[in-house]
Amino acid sequence: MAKYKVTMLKMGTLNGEKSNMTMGRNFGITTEIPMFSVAVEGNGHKIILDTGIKSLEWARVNLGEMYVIEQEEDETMEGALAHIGWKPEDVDIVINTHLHYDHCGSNHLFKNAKFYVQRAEWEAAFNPVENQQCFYFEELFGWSAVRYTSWKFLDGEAEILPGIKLIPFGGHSVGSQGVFIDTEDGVVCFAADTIGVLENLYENCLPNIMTNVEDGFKTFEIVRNNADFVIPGHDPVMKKYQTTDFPKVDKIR
Amino acid sequence: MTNTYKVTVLNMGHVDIESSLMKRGWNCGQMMTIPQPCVAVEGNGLKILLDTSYRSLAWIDEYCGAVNNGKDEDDGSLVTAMAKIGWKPEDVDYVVNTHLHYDHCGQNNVFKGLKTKFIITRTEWEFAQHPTPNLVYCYYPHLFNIESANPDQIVLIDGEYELADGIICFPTPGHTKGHQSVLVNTEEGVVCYAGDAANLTANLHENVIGNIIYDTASSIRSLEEIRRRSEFVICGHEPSLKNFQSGGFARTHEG
Repeated sequence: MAKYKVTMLKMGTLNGEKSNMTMGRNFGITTEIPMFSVAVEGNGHKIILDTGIKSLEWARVNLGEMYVIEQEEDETMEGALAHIGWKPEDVDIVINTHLHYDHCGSNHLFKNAKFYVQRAEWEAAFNPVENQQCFYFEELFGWSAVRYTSWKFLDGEAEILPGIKLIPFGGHSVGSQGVFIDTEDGVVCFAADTIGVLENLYENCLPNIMTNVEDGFKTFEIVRNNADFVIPGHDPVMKKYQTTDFPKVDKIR
Repeated sequence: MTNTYKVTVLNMGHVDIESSLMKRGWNCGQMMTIPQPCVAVEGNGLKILLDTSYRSLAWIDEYCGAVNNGKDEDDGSLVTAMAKIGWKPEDVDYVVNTHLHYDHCGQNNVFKGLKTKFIITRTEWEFAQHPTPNLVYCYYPHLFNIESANPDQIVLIDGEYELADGIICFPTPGHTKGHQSVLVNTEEGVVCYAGDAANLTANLHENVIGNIIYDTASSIRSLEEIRRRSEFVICGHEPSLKNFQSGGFARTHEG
């Protein structure tokens, strides 16, 4: 079985309302919300999970006052890839956990990649429910960013390579998916925003950007049943370029 | 990396038609001259033809009544047009019919008994046997049934269909019940052969549908599906198309 190497790439930091990450908790506190992509290498493939925001300038123009965003030089997608010795054209697979602007913003950089997303997420992205309209920007995932013939639309669970499995994750958006990766240490799950911070999983506390809460709790169970380690999408405990010692999945609950 | 293909327009000829049939409410009562193209797609070891135009002007005269000011390009024959780009009928792996109106499947018979597979939506195939009364005059079963293609050459598809890496057929109903359009990845970008989901580039730019119609709501929706998926477009009867044009196609999105 192929084993993959997993490296955290930090895509900048949002400063925003902490209760967005935890339903019913931490109201009125502004906190640092780092954004993470993940580089996965092995079995002859270079894979990127999520692509961060498009640029600081894009965020200023399009997000307005919603968040204050900071981004160090090696926290742009190009900067982070250069740091680990990759070029965008080397990447042959991009997996979007979902199509919110901070998870597909740099899709346009990857000219040689196939892009994996759940079809339900793609469909919802063009006509989002009102409370999610502020997260979807067609210019980031539409024809001007990614050629339609480069998309691979999924209808449910799929093992896209030996040791890389995608499983639909309900709760945070209509068609989110989690990425399960075989590594030397065990199975690592990149949960992105369905487990934005470890507190979600460890305390069974949903994130607060939600579609259906029942689906959100089911997602926690899927992670507990299928992974040894979890990478949350926005938790400050995760370190830039971290490659080992990922947080353990809490199996107790 | 996604495969790229070369796309070439093969036009069989021109006919005149009432303008508002091409764009609803536009220049009512005035005739316009429209081309009757097919599209040749080559790359990745494949030769694929999108639509096969009309059988002949004499055929239109016989079956549809007098043809309006018809003019063939060359001799109006697909075999002649293909020869000019170095293709023989037996080279063609697939014919995709966007729909089964007589001016889009007329020369399917060229490929009868060859290796060629015909890619047609199941919905269109069934609709073509029993069309709504307003569209009966467009469907002639001998153009697509066993008289023109062996049963084992017919591949009926449902929904979006990846014919090869970089080539995708997707449903664009409205003009007919089972209409489909085809995306082809080229060096310049993704080209959509719209068929008659957009007769003219103006249908897309102005979001105005044609008026040879099965369903208006799905027809409008199909224009949006084309816009989502493509950067360039070849419309089924766009007068600005040039015979053997293989680049510089109209932009799907205006401006």
